[in-house]
Amino acid sequence: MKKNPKTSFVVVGSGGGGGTIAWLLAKAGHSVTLLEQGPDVADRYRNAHDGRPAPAGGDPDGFNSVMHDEYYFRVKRPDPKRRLRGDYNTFRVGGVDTAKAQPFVNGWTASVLGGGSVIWGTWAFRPLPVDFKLGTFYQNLGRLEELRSWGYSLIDWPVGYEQMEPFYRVAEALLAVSGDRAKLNASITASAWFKELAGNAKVGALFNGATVGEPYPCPPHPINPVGYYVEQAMNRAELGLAAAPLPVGIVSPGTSTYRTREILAQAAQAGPAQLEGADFWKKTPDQLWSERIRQACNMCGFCGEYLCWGGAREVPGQTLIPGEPKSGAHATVIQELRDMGQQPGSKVRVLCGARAYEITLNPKTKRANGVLYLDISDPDHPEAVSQPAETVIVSCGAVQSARLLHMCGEHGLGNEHDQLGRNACFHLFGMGAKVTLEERFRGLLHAEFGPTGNTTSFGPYFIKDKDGRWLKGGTLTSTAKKNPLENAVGAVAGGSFGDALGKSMKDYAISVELRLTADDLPMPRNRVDLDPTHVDEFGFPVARITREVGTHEWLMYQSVVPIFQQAFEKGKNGVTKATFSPHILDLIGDHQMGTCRMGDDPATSVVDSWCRLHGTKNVFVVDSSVMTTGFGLNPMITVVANALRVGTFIADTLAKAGDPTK
Amino acid sequence: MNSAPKISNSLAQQLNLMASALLPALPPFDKTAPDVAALLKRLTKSEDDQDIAQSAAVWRASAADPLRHQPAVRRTAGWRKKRGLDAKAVFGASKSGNFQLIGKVGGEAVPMSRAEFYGLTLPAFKKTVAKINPGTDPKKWQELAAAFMTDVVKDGTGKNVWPPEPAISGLKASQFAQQLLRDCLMEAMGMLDGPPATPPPLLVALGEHRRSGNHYTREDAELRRNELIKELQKPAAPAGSPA
Repeated sequence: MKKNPKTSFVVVGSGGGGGTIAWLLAKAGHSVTLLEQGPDVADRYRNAHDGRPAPAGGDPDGFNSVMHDEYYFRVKRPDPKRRLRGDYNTFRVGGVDTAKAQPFVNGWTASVLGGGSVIWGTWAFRPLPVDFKLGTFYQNLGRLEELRSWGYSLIDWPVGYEQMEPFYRVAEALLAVSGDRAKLNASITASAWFKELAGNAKVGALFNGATVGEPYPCPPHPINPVGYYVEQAMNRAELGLAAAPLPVGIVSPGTSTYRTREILAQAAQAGPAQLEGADFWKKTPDQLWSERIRQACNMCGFCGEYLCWGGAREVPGQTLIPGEPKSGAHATVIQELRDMGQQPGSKVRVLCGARAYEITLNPKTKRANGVLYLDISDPDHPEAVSQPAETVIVSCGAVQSARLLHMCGEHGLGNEHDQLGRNACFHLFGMGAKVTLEERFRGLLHAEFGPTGNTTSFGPYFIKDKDGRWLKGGTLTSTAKKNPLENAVGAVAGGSFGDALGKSMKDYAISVELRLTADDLPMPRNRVDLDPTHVDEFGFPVARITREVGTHEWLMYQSVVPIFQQAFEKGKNGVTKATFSPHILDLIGDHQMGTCRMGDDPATSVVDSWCRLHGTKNVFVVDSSVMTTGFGLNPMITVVANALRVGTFIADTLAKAGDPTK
Repeated sequence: MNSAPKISNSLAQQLNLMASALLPALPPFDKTAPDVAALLKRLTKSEDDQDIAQSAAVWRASAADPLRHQPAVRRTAGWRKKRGLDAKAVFGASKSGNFQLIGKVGGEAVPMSRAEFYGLTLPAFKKTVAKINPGTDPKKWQELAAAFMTDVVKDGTGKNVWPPEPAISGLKASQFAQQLLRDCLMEAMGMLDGPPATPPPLLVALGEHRRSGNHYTREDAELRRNELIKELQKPAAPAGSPA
C-alpha cells in the first residue's frame, strides 16, 4: 500500500466544516492534508463548459455565461450529485426491517471540493440562544417526559450560544452574509411566540440575547417581485408574520469592494480575539487573509443547486480565472488553503479524488494514527493509500461521517455506547404551499433575481398546537425559483405532453412558493448505519438511513397548515389556485444533522463539547453531525462557526504546548 | 467517441412530426422550432454524451461485479463479515437511482448514453411508424404521440406494434417519447450550448425571463418589483372577463 508522508492533521471532507478547520490549522502553522473524495468541478469547467469556451469578449468579472444553462444546473447537474461517485444511500421508514433502496430525494450533498457548501442555498441564519437549550426549554415547560414518551431524546448542547457567538461573527464575515439585521431582529421580536415565551417565568431567560446587535457584513439582496409578493402575504394582519430579507451567504449585488481581509479582521477583533486564550485571532489582517476581493452576485438566476460556477478566482498579479463558485468554502477557505499549499516548503496539501474508507488505530494506544483512502483519480484503477497523521478530523456530512466511522473496525469508531448514527435529523422540507396567480401576473414575477429564497420570517419558529402545547417550528421563506426546464422535464416524466404539458408550464410560470424549514427533533431510532447488502461503486457498504416522523412533527404539520391557508387564500391577491403539501415525510437529505451528536454524557452522545470522540480523543468531527438539535435553520453557518471554535481550541492549545486530544 | 445514429430524410421528417405532436403549442412557440435530426446528431456527438457513456460503462461494470475494486483494499469476505455485512453485495446506485438515466430496460435502470439510446430506439420508431402509417396528418401524429406516451401503440387491427423487434423488448415506447420530448424542450428553451442568440419563443410564451447568460443588477430587481406592485394595486379582473 502506498504511504504518504505523516501530517499533523488529516481532514476528511472539504465542506464548510472540514475546509474551514483545515484553513485555520494551516494558518496556525500546522501540517494539514485535506482529503476530498470528489473532484474540483471548477478545475474541469474553468474556462470551458463541456469543452465549450466562454463567448468572445467575455465578461470583465470573469463570468462565463456558457456555464449557466438549466440543463446543466437542474437536469444533468455537474458531476457528482446523482452520478456515479456521488453518495448512494438506502432508506427505510422506521419499523420496516429491510431497507428498501430509494433515492436520496433532493439531497443537497455534494462530493466535490467545497462539499455541501458548494450547493448550499446560501441561507445563513444564526440560531437563537434557546436553540442550544431545547432540553431545558421543554423541561421547564414540564413537557420533556411527554417528548420522551413519544420517542425523542432531547438534550441541551454542551456549549451555549454565548460560546458560539464570537465565531458566528467570523463565519458571517467569511461567508459574506448579506442581510438586514434590524428587520430580522424585528421578525423575531414581533412574533407571537416571542412575545409570550420571552415573558414566561419558566423559560423567559432562555430568550435573552435572541436579537443581534451588529449589522451583517453586507447589505441585503434586493427584494425581488416574488419576495415582495410573499412579504405582503406575511405582513397581513391576520397572519402576523413579520417579514425580513433572507440573509444569504453571497456578496450582495453591486458590492464591488468586499475585502474579506478587513471584514474578517474586524469580526475577529470584536469576536474571538476577546476570548481568553484565542490568540489565533490576534493576527494582523494580512496574516489572516489574502488581498482577494470577493465577487458579488450578478443575479444570473442559475443558482438553484450548484452555485455560481460563473465566478472567478483572482490570482494576485494574474488575470481573473473564470469558473469558480462565489460562495461557500470553495470560494473562501479552500482558495486560501491552496495558496498556502503553493508556498515553497509548504506542508499543506489538498487532495481531490481521495475517498477515505477507514480511520486506523494504534492497537496499543487505541488512538487514531491515520486514514486509509482510495485514490480514485483514475477511478477504473483505484489505489489504496495510507495517510499517517497525529490527529484525524472528520467532516463528511452527517450521513457520510457516520458511515465512515461505522466502517472503522468491527463495531465502528466512537460507538462504544451504541450511539453512532443515532438521532439523525433532516428537517421537514415537505411542508410548503404553492399558489398560482391570475394570468395578468404572467411575466411579472421575475424569480431569476438572486439566490433561491428572498423573503423570510421567524414567525412560526415556535408554534402552538390546538391543545396549547409549544412546538418547535422553523423559518418560513419564499422559495420561488422558476426553473421552467426542470419543471417541464418533471411533468414529462409524469406522462405529460402536448396541451397538458403546456398548461403545466404556463401555470408554473405564474406560481409562487412558500416553504417552512421545520425542525425535526432527535429520535434515537432515526439512525444512519451500514447497509448490509448495497455497496458503492468501489465496493464499500453504502449508508442506510432509518427514519420516521414523530408525534411532534405531525402536530407541527397540523398546526402550520392554517398559516399557509391564510397566507394564500384563493380569490385574494390574484390567487387562483393554492395547494399545500399533502405529506411531511420525504426522504430528503438537504440538511443532515445529529448522527454524531455533541454532549457531555457518552451514554447519549458521540463527541464531547470540543467535538472529540468520547473514546478516541484524537478524532474530531466538525460537520453538521455533531449538532445536538437541528434548529429549523440551514446548518451551514453553524457548521462553519463550530469548526472555527474547535479549530481555535486546537490551535491555541498547541500554541501553549498543550495537547488538545487529551 | 459515441457513434451518432444515422437519420435519413424520411426519418427526420417523422421525428419532426412526432416532436410537434409531443410539444405544447404556446404561441409564439410554433412547435416546429427544433430540427430534431440536427439536434439529436449534435447531442449524441457531444462531450456531454461521452461523459454519460463513460459513467454508464462504470455503472454496468459495478452492477456486474459489485466488489471488483475491493481487492485494492483487503480481503473482501473477511472485511464484510467482520462488520456484520452480507456476503453477497449489490451495487447500490442501480437500485437507488442516484444517476441521471437515459435508458431503462425491463423496468431495471440501465444507464446508456443518448447515442446508445437513440441507436436502439430510432430504428424501432421508424418501423413502428411504418406499421401505423400516420402520413403527415398532424391529428394522426397526435394520436400516435398519445399512444407512445401511454404505451398503447396499436395498428389498425388492434395489434400491439411496440416493440417492433425483441432486441429492445425492455424499452417502452413512452421512454422513447419522453426522452425525445425532453431533448426537444431543452433545445426549445435555449438551455443547451450557452446563451441563445435570440429569446427562445417558448420562454417568451411562458413569460419566463430565465435565460442562459443572464446578468441583472439591483436596479433591475427594483424596477421589476415596482411593476408587480402596480399590478397588485389594480382591482382583480371580474370573473369571466378575458385575461
